[in-house]
Amino acid sequence: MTDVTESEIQERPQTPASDGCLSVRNLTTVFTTKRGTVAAVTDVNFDLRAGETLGIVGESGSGKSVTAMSILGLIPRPPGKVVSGEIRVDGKNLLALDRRSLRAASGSDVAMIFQDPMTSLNPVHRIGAQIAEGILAHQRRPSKADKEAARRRAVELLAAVGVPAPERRARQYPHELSGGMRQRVMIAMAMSCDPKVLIADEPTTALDATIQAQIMRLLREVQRRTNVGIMLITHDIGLVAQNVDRVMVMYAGRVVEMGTVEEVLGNPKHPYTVGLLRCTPSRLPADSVRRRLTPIHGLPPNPTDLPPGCSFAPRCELRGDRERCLLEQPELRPAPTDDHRSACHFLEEVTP
Amino acid sequence: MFHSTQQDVVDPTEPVGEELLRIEGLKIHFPLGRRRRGQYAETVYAVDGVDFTLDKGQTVSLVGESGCGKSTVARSLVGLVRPTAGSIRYKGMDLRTASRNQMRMLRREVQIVFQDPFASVNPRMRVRDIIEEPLRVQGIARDKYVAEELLEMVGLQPVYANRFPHEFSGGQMQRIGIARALALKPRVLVLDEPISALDVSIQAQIINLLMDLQDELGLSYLLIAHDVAVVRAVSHRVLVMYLGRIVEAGPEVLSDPGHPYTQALLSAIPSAEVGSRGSRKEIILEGDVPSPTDPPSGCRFRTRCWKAADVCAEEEPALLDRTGLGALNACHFPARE
Repeated sequence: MTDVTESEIQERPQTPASDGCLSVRNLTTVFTTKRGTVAAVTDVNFDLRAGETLGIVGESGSGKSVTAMSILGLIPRPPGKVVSGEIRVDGKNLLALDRRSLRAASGSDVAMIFQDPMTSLNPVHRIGAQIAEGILAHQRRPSKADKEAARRRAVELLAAVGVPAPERRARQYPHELSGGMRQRVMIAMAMSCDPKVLIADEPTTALDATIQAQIMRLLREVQRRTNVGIMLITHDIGLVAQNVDRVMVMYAGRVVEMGTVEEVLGNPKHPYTVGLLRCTPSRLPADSVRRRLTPIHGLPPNPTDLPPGCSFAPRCELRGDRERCLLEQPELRPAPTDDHRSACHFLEEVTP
Repeated sequence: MFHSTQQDVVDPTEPVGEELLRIEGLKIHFPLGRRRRGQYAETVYAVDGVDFTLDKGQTVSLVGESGCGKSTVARSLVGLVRPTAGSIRYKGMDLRTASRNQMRMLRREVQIVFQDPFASVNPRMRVRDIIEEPLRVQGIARDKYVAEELLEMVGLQPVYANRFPHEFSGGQMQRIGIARALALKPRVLVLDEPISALDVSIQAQIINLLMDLQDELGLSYLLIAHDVAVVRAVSHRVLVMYLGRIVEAGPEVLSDPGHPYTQALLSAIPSAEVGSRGSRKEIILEGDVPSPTDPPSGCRFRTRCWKAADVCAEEEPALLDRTGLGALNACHFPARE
């Protein structure tokens, strides 16, 4: 019943995979706090092509969610501010838009699915009305016929994301739905205006494993049908390994490694990625009973007080007592090709 | 190093493998709504017939998805919820008939570590007071440096005793939660999702700490978790729960699952190896877990099971050694795949 067979979500002509639909250049977002200005995201660059899935991996505070919020113009200001950079969707710079144009762009150019579907749905409105609201927000002075059409479209979208009995569900309230169903509603809502880019911020973290599998299958289905570019933000290495084309690893607000999923997970070239993979318990062999895990020692740095050189240097096992890591900020550089880049001074020495 | 002035936790005269906890026919039901004519509108069958034992020095893990009753089992062991039926025995002593003195002993020897380390402490108390509180409650004389010793034991600096909870990260705070649980020198630790609120790199630190403490102090753990990979790495025995019942139990059920639910649960965990993409058989269950107020007749998993036959609706499968390999399985068709 959850298998999506209808193609209610509009088919878009297939664009060649080389078409960059989202490009982010030199994005830097800061927050002003009592203890001074904190750079949550520093100099982030990446491209997302149509029909491609880009995974963004990192721990809490690494800047992955702030990157997503910056793209959508959702950074609360004050205290936050995007201080530099360019975010282009099909050539249009979102950061240069005025408020009204940005509102028009959000939803139709870039849409987002949040982690907790309960807190992102309004508990006092019916599901169908909430989906229709997003559609109507993109029409100026919708007529009665428009409203009726939006309501019908909401039901179609619910059917397309595998919600059984969509007519009945559309009249229900969020509390009457299970967590998995609510996340399906969020996906229906995000896809309602046929976006070019879908940002999924930890879309399955609040869900159980068997429901997570259903939702990831649905996202793959939706992508296949609409050729939407998906930015998957997660801390789950397993989700990345099974679902994305390219990966970007973030640490302390910077991209430390980037490349195809095969390269980054199979042949990591940054000590942080190596550490992250080592402490992922699902990478232990299945028959290993009572085996110790290999943690990364220490704690992530305090963002108000980042070390001057490489942010990972204090926890890095590769550094030894080399001064350069503490003094000089490493840049992303080819490791060894442009398809796989790492920000480590000694990336040649990194072994998985 | 562990309060050398007091008696050691591990009694060397006790044989390893001694049974500490025995749970038999445990049922915990929660009535919902108002009582009318002596009847409640609905009942949540949170735990509905669970049996298991925990031996000294062992880690037994309960895995399952939200709402399967695993946390309710954990809470009943430390007396936070009362069983509706069935018995919980600690060293042969039944919790229902235990005297006050026996309950005091039980509360000392069975301690719990919670999921959210910040939600389980008073933010206005200093770490020293947090760690010493169990001793104060039990009226046990405390050494001047108890808090410092316990902090050292969980890998934190002793000077942290004078700080407040907000000065710590999640991983450090969970270490403090473990230190507090160890203050009474317990025999059994109930670990209710101790790492699921932490970042991956920190999770490994806490798991390693728990394993070291177990080896050092001979503790027994009942680990409640939903992360199958972590459970597989640390457990001596795994119990898989679904909708209030154990569906499969054994030392290797997560490597070699025999019950369809365990198979689906394992298949749903994305492998971290890129190479395995698309190569393994994927089982994606349809639909949601049924409501625990109205569990299906017969086998509770049958509504989502691809093997379900008529017998599954009529007869509830018992948890038996069906394959002769030592693992208990509650499925009418426990074929290995």
